[in-house]
Amino acid sequence: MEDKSKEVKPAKKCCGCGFGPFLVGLVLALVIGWSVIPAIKLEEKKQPIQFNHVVHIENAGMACEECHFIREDGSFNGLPNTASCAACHEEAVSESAEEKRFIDEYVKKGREIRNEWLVYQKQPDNVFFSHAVHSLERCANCHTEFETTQQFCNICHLDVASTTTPPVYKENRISTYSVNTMKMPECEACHANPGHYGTTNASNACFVCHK
Amino acid sequence: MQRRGFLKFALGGTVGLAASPAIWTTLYDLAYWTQNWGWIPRLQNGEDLSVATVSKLDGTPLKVRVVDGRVINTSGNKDNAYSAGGLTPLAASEAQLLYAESRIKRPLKRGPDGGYAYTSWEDAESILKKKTRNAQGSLAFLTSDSSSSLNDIFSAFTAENGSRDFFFMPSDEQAAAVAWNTVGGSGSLGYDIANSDCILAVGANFMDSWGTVAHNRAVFKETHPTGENAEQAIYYAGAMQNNTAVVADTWLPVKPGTEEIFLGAVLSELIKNNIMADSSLSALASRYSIEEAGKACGTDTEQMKKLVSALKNANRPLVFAGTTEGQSLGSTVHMLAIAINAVLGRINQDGGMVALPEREPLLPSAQRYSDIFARNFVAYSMQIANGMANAPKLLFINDANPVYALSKDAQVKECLAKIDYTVCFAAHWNETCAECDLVLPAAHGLERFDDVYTPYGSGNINWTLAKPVTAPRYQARPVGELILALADELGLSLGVNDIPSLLEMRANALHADFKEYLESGDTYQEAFHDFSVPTLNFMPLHSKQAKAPLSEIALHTYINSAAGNPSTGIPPYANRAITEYQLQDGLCVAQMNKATAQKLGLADKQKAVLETKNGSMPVLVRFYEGVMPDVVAVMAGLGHTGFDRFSVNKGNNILEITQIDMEAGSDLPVWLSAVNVVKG
Repeated sequence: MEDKSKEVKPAKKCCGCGFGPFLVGLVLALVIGWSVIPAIKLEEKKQPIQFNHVVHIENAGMACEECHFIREDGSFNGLPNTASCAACHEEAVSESAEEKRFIDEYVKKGREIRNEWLVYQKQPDNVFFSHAVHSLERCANCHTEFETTQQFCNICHLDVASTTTPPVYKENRISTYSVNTMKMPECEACHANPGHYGTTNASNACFVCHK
Repeated sequence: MQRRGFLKFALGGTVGLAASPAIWTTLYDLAYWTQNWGWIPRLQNGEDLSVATVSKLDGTPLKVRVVDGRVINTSGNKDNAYSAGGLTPLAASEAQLLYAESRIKRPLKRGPDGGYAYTSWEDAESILKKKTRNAQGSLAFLTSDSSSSLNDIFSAFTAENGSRDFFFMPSDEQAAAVAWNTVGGSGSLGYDIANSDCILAVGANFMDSWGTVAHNRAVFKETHPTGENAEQAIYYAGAMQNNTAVVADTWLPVKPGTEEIFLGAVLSELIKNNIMADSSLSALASRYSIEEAGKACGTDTEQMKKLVSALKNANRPLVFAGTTEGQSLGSTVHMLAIAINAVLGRINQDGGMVALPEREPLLPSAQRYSDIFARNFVAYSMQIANGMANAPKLLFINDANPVYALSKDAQVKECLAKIDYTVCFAAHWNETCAECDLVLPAAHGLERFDDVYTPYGSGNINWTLAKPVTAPRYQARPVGELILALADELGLSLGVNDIPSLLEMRANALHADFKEYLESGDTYQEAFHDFSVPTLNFMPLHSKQAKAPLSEIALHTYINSAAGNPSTGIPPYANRAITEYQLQDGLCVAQMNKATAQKLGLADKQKAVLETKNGSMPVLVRFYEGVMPDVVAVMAGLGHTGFDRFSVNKGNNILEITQIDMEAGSDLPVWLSAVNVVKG
């Protein structure tokens, strides 16, 4: 007599549709694709000096343009150099350990801070970007939503003016560019916008940006 | 998991990945990654500065673009009133030369086997100190840049070591200074080109390679406004249509070696045309005639008559002579040019030939320029080589390349071989370095403090400061500072501690604000103000005998100013400026017009050989109707064996086989035009 209790029963399906493995694979891949791989690709780096913007703006009363300005020839002085920092920090002016480290390691040794600073929006060499052309004076003719230069700068740049330590610099391990580096579609938001033609000469021709 | 389940899982994973940005952003990242491949050049960003200074190659005021301490390029200085933003080809090559492969990187010492080995600066300084101490009273110094105030340091150093043997390389300036001194003039000879309304330039290619080129071009631009009448007439007399001839109102072909006859004929014709002259000059002029000059010089007599008429009728005519390559025609042609200006009443006049005050030495032991110009290096070299004079124990050569620039007649190699110890200061490895015992890397003009003080060809006192725009590359050091340090080591007091202090002394002597001129890069200018007419004595000219052409076919050597000079070699990008009418198939080109070629039985693009008593040189014949009949024109500046791949294996050095004769009386070298052309 056959023992029916030992019969192999087919595995019980969750809902009977047969897509369980598919869904598991899909969800797993979405998690990996959206969060694990991006996290692996990015390497977090710290700036060489934990520069405090708030202290310089609020306590020292400095204006942004004292360090970040357009030179006479139209080129942009995005970062101050060690010599210009040393104008105030030849000797320590506070109890800050970072200031002391900056003086000991950069000012006294003649090391150039600008060469080591990590630029969040650094563009590839084949991109020519002129800060002089992208000015508040020109864009604010139509874009009245920008009331201050800082607001305008923050369209592309991180808002570092209100930070006491620089944001963490996240570098793509493959491309070696910052995660904050603007990509072409973001440029094209204006350059490929027909509304700009004739008012800003923001042509989308290749040689406008790629020299 | 069963096979079917696994496939479903994989399919779900694939769809999930495709629906996430992972693949697409990674592809984007890979595209960016390809920009970082090692062989792709990278931008080197940094502080972008425009620094005003002056080219030490030809005195052109410059704006140098410097990014993060690196020199990018040079451009004219539009803020400088003297040059009005003009830029010469040589000054444009400064950045290329700064980074040229031929830069000498470390001190080099010649070993017993004749080869060179790197040595340390400590060792080099120790050798310099020892050799200088041993050479007391037997030291010679040769340099090429007469416009630098640093010459006061060099000549004072030479004098403090008990010697007067300080020399400049032979030049038009020296020949003119000797001529001016011979006829009794005082000060330095100047040419007020800016204020003249009629210029006759004999041989002097003043729009390209003679005098203050950037200033001369600025004057031309000013006096020749587009679409309006020119305010200045230019007559150029020379063997070839060069950059001056092509902008001149009239080009008068004059065979090389007959400049003296040409100028004598102009003087004679002026006097015939009722221009007042003293009896001495009238007697001298009677030796010459336009008709004879026409035959000897190959110049159209009607054109000469028109020239004389233009000079006579002009309000502010000016006549000067020179060479295209800045060598020397001897003093006679300059004396005749002075004589013509004198009979026209153009000495010490606006737009005329002017006697600029002689530069006062800044240091107590520094030698006066009139004394320095009274000695010439070619005669010195020949005397030593021939055993007619004692060789010095030590010779310093700074920024000069006599082995390349002077002909075999000067016997420079033989002279150097007889000197106990020779030291060469040079920024680039040149032919003279290869003959010296110690070769020291000198700072390039953009790496040092220096100045340009009233360069030859100026019409007024002018002064432009040079400052370092970048740190010296490799182990190069400024020669001025090196000599000061050596003097200090030897316990000699030259009267100045550093180069900026010396330059400040020059500023003070001129009552100029040193800091202001250092910062602005502007040229200090002092208007000519001594209008007193000197009494000149032209009797020495009577003893000169007009030379007949030395050969039926005359050799005309010229330089392409874009292609460097003997001290620089050919700047890397200047190779493109050398045309197929100057160098082709590795051969120097002998340019001649078709009639000359037919007379010689030569055809276009045919190989030929130029022969002089100093040797022969293979050339390629090319027809060029801008060369006058019976003249063969060859570009000088080719055939280097020093420098780098941009200079070597490019033709031959015509200067080597060109003959030099010593002018009777002045003992100045005169470059001769004799040549024999045969089929190759």
